[in-house]
Amino acid sequence: MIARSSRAASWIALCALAASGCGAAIAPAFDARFEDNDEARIAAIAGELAHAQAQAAPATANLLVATTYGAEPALIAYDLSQARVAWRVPLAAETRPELLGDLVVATAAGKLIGFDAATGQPRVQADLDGCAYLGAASDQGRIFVACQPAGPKHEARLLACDAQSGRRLWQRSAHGEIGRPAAYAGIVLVPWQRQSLSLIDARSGRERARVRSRDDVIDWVRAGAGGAFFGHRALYRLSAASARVSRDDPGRASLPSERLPGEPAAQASAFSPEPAGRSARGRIALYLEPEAIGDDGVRLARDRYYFVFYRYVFAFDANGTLRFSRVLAHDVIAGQAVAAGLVLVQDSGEALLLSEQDGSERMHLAIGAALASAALRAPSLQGVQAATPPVPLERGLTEIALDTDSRLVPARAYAVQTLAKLDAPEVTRELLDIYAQSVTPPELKRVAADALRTRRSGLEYLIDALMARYDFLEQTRPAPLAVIAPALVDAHDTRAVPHLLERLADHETPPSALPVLVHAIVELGDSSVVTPLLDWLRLYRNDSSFADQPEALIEAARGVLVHGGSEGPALLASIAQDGRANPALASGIASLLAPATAATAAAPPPETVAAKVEPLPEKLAQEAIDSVFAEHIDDLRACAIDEIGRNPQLAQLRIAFIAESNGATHALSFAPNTPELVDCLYAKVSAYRFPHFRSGRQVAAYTFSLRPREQPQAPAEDGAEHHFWDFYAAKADPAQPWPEGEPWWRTHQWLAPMLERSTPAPAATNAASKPAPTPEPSPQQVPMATAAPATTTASNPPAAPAPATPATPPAQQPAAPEGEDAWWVPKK
Amino acid sequence: MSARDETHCVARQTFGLGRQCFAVLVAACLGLLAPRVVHAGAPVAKLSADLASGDATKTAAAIDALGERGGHDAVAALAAFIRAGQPDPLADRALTALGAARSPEALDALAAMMRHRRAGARIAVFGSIARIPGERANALLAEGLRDSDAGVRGVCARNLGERRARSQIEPLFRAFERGVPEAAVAVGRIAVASELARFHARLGQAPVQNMLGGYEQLLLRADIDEATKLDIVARLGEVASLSVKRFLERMQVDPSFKTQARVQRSLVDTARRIDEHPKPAGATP
Repeated sequence: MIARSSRAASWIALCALAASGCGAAIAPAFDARFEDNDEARIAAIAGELAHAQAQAAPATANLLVATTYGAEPALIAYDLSQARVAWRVPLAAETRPELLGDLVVATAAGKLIGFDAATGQPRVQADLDGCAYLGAASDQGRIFVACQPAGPKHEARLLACDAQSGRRLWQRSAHGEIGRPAAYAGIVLVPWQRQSLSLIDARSGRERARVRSRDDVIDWVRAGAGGAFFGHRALYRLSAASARVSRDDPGRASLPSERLPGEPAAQASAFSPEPAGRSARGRIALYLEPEAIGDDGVRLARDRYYFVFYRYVFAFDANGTLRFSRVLAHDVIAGQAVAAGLVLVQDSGEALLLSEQDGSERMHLAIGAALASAALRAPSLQGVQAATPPVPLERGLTEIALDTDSRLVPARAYAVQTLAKLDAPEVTRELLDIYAQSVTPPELKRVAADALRTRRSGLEYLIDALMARYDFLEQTRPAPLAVIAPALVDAHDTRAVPHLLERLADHETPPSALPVLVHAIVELGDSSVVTPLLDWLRLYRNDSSFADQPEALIEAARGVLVHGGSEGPALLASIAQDGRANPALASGIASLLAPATAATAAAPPPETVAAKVEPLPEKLAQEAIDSVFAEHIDDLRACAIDEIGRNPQLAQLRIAFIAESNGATHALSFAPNTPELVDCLYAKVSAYRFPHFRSGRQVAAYTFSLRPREQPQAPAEDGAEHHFWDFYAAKADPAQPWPEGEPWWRTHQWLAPMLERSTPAPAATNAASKPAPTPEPSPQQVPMATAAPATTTASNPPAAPAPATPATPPAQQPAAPEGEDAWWVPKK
Repeated sequence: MSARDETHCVARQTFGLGRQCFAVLVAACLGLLAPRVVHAGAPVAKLSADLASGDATKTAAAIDALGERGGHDAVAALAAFIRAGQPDPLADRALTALGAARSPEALDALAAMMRHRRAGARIAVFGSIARIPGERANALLAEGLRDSDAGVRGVCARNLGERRARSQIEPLFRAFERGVPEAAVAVGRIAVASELARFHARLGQAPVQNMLGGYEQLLLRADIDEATKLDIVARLGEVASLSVKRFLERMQVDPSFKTQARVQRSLVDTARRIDEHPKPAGATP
């Protein structure tokens, strides 16, 4: 009885569904079956937007609206033109206020409230019915609200309300995320699923056209008299060409923002709600104005865009050239690029206008309250005479780099990298100052060190810095040799040699810097360095201070050999032959002398040597990297032992760096990156030199295993390979054998027998094989079975290439025809 | 190295301050215990040959003999021996022997070793420089005040005080202001009354324990007038710490104050006024 009634209910439901036209009619908006990228429809809408009559400017042209920060939350409006608070309303807003024409809207207690922008009087209120507010737009007396209903995340809603009464006009649901809309000339533009832009008729709520990007993200949209624009990092203009939106679109404007810290998009994301309270959201932002050009092109207005990172401001040309940078006293929470420059609002309650030309302050207003969130509309704001003088680019970047705000290290590092690209010699001194400051965090020091190594001007500052030495009474610190010496080596500045020798003789030179220092002397020096190196080597050859760290002595020994000419080997031998040298040094000297002796004994004629010179390799091979690290394994071991003392669980060290074609390295990074380990490794590894290669540079890595590696699987006595499944097969319960020859899908998928009936059975050539469906392995499957190790490490040398055919279980024997004896066919 | 130096070194070792200093002391003790194989009267050539013999006993004896002999050749032999690279004990012993030579040539050799990388060697160098008279040695000792090693700075400051090196009062003051306790003692030994304001200025800023050594020297000096000593006692009374009380009590029984009744009475009265069990800061009376 129950079964019969439920069957009847199912029929009724199916009939009702059919009667409702489910699947037949086009839903009003956000329907998955709606045809996207219809060029004619998009072109028509773009034309309507372009020819729309310009709307009257709002009565309050230059207005800032903000929520206050403190015990008594309020919504305030500040007239930037008249420098006064226009109105103030007590309000515990939930979202950042927005300026929509003559309305200021914010949400509070689950309602959307609209205030008159001129007076602050409440004008409209709309209940959101528990739908979480994402953003709104207004046009022609309507407010369009994007919101997210409570419950599953994959639904969103677009509401249209009357701007006077708050009455709901229509409502559309969308499957998936929608973002803050834009509205103009009777069209509502709604970004959807970060890939589509629905163009909806404002009056009826019907979708008129849809733009879908093939390979780019649509993260925001804006519309106005100048046209409609959308995009993510790049800017697109809505036009007939939008039917073919892709990264290859020649009309788009792209920003070099990928290399900016925080990787900000061109506009704030439409998909993220803006909170009313204090938040880090929006403090890393780009400020720019898109401008239409030609039929479907877009460019940056005034060829200028601004990047704000909390308190730092960078101004760029459209081609990415930095024009000025500024450090502000407080974090920026809102901004707008305008004709006069950049308007900024700080959380301290101050509004600034920075000159477009040089960043000088052309306006500085105190609002009188700390702010939590703000929105801004100041298209016609004009500054006054510059309140502060312009800051030269070099000084501005240096101020950012030397700023002590530890939250902002990524932007400070960016400033250091940008500073290093300036040719002025003084930049070298500034970089050195940044490196030498005790408050500079280690990651910034590394950036400064890398930047110094790229400098080719202002090297005299590096040489001058070599003269700095530790003095307890004067409280001076020694020269940062770990960075200066490699930089001088890279620049091959031989003027530094006397000063480097002076530092070698100075007992205040830190032991950790000695290997780098001696290496620099050897690389830059000539025969004149042999005597001082030999004297130094002799004095300390048996001294306990070098017992554990003989690297510098061994490098000095190499210098004697390199620059000592024909007498070099004899001089070096005199150091070790009387048995006074410490064992590590003696061993090092012996290994230095051994190839030299062998080379002398079997030196071919010069012509032969010249004939055997091989061309440089295109890339630096992993074997070459491993070989260089293997030479210095004792260095690594010393640092690793210390690190294990701090972290007994440590299993491996990983060193990543950029290798230059001349064998130098920079951009070193270490994992783990504890300060002690980094300090220990950095000076050493940065001094390593790798074989030269032809291509400009490459990323390289080396992994140093600290645990005994797993024993490689020994081949079985019968020579067969062992595979991971053997292990599990051995563990399987023999009492419950798998059904012989039964594919797993037969027991798990009831449709399989039906499919098999419709698939012609393969010819059985192996009597043991049951007839089975023979799907070709998918492209994802084969590589999984054949892939070589993804990474190569020193402790785990590159494995032999895996066989090109799918791996076969151990019992697999001679090649069977494809599809009959493949790995997916169960075996007996 | 004087007995006082040795005592100081032991004290430093006890408090874990001067490993190098202890090494020098051990080297010195080993030197005392070593058999005298060769005579100081032996020719330098013979002693030089012994230095290179490879026999530790012979080498040690030759080092000592060359130091006692002094003179240009002996100093040159010792300097060459050090420069040839020796194990720490032998290098330190040779550096100490250079001090025994007490000659300007030895000073040159020692000056060249002032920048030895091992702090123990530098302590030996400055200890030896302190044995050589003359203003140049004072200037070299003052250089040692700039050293990063506290042991080296201590040796230099103490020896400058013992040598009454008035010419180096400025670097001594700076070392004192940087917190070198031995410099406080040295300043107490050689500062004149007009310079004491600079010393007093650190009272309340530097640890009083570091300053008491300097005040002790000032109170014990016969060339410091009674008014200055009374002023010192009064200033210490203002500090009123238990360590000051103990210091004042110790000074009361020093025989030198038997002829300075007012100073002694002031020491007694001030010490009595300092509470044996000072109240913690912020406690209500």
